Amino acid sequence: MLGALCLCAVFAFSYVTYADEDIQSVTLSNVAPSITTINTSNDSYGEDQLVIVPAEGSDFVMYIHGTAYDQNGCSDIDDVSQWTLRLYRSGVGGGFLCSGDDSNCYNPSSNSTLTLSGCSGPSDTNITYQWTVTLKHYIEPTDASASSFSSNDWKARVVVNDVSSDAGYLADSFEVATLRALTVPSVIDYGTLAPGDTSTQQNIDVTNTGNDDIDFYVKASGAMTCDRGSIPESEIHYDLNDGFVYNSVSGLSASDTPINATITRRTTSISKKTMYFRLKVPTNGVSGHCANTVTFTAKSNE
Amino acid sequence: MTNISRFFRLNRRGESQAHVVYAVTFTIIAVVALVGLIMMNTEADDSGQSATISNAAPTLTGSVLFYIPGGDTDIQGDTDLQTPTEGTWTTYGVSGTVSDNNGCADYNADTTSSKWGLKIYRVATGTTANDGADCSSSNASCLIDTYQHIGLGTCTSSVSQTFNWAVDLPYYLQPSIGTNAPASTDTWVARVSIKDASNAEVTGVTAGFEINELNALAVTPTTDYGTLALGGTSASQTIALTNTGNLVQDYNVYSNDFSCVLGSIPKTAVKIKANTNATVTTPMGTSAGEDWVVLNDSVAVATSAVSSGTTHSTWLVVPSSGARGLCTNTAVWAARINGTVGD
Repeated sequence: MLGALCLCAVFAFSYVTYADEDIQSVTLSNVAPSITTINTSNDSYGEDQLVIVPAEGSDFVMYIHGTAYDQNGCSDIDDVSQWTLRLYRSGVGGGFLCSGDDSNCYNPSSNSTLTLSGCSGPSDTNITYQWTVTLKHYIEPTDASASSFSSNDWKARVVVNDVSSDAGYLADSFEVATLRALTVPSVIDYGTLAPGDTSTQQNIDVTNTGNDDIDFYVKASGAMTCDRGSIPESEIHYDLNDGFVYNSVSGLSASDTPINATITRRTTSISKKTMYFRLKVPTNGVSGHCANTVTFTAKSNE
Repeated sequence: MTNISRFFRLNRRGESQAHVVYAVTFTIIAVVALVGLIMMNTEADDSGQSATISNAAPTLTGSVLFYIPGGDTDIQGDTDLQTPTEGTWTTYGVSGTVSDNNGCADYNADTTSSKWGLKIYRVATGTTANDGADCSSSNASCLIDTYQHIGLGTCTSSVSQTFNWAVDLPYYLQPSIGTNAPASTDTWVARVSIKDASNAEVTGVTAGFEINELNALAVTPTTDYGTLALGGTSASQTIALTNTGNLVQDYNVYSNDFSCVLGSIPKTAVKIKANTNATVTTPMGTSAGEDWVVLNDSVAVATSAVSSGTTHSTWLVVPSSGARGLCTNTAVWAARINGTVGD
């Protein structure tokens, strides 16, 4: 029983009124949350993209965002620790239970952040999420031009567990574009040569900066232009074999020449091939500084 | 005789000698008779004596007091109101000093109800205290020997003793003061009756005292609507209300929102159905005052050990979203004076 609710003075006496309390209770069952929408994009909160394009030679960011719903209230799923994301190529062993691999299976933790927003309070049932995931440029491509996994796609699978450990999930499919790219040193310097000399061998590392095995084309922009005169690009001989003999191989041309180098897709370490160059200077008609441009263009591996 | 005759014959020799003999003889006989008579008058014997002492009726010395054990030693005549204890009985005391010139044993040998009587009753205005002494037993208005427990002090001067009489009074005593008490002009007294062994009686009445109005209730302490899904409706639950005061009462009720492990349930999700009007449902009120639900039950005052009360049905309509887990709130039920006094 409760103490006196009021002690009301009326004239020379008072009467006493009491109140009593009834503790009411109910237990509301838990309802599992659900992922309402999921989008994959190269842009923050961007429109859903069917194809994600890696960045050449460096890590890149993709976003997985959408909304989730919990009938019990969004506060039931508003802690980042309740959320998990798995990005994986559909054909990888284990599927969404795959082991982490920068090429085909991401279980983002340290390389991602999750932002939860839009939950205005216990009576609100919706929440917006966005994962920002940093991926390696050499993740396995699955688009039509991919050399190995064109029949696969990638999955983004978002799972949220509410406080009662009931889970909701949703997966989205997307393709990772094939990126064939390479890098080479910016300068090939043959040093100072006398007319009629043949340079020493210059080693040029061609590095695969895409996500598929590649060959490449090579061509010269034209003859090397000197302070006086010029040197035909055909005087620049090249080969994939170290110590090649100048006269045993051909020289550059102004059109693409395919080089079947087969530079494989990087996995754990950088993947590259070395190409060797030598320049033979004409016996007359040129002097001073000479220069041109040699272009390396990645192509599908043959 | 032979020897005497012979003697006489021996003394016929002279007439004077015979007269002497006769004189002496008669003298001796007289003396012997006298001695015997005296001896007969000095013998011991028993003789029964009796006296009848009239009975003295016991008397009361000083006032008979009505008091609270361990509290106010003299309630009557005070301006203090005696408010019954909600839902239970309260022990009071009646004390005084009784004397009997026939000795203490004349009244203290038997302290059962046949000799010691106590009534506590409401006295109507315009009448004397003794006018109400013939009231019929009622726990609400006329309590007789409610608790036969008399403590006696030491017998003083062989004739006088103090007495302390413990008496339990119920929570539903009719109030004798207050705007809601029809008997507001009445007063309460305690009347003591003590009889000695000869059934000579002494009575004493305390000065009047007032029983205050008590508007109190007890309600089912917990209501569990069970485990429900969002959007669900609970089964009907029964709330029992018991009048633990001394006034006919109605009820008001309000509550706060349910607080859940996650989220909340608005207080208006609880619906109430008055048992006296099954067609009326109303959401739980939101606060004391204008928002609370008013239920006009007219629950009577208890009149015996059986309590008086009523019931209401409540149920919970759970919102479709926004809460999870255990949810609790507190519904406050307040007694409201109906305006009449039960009996």
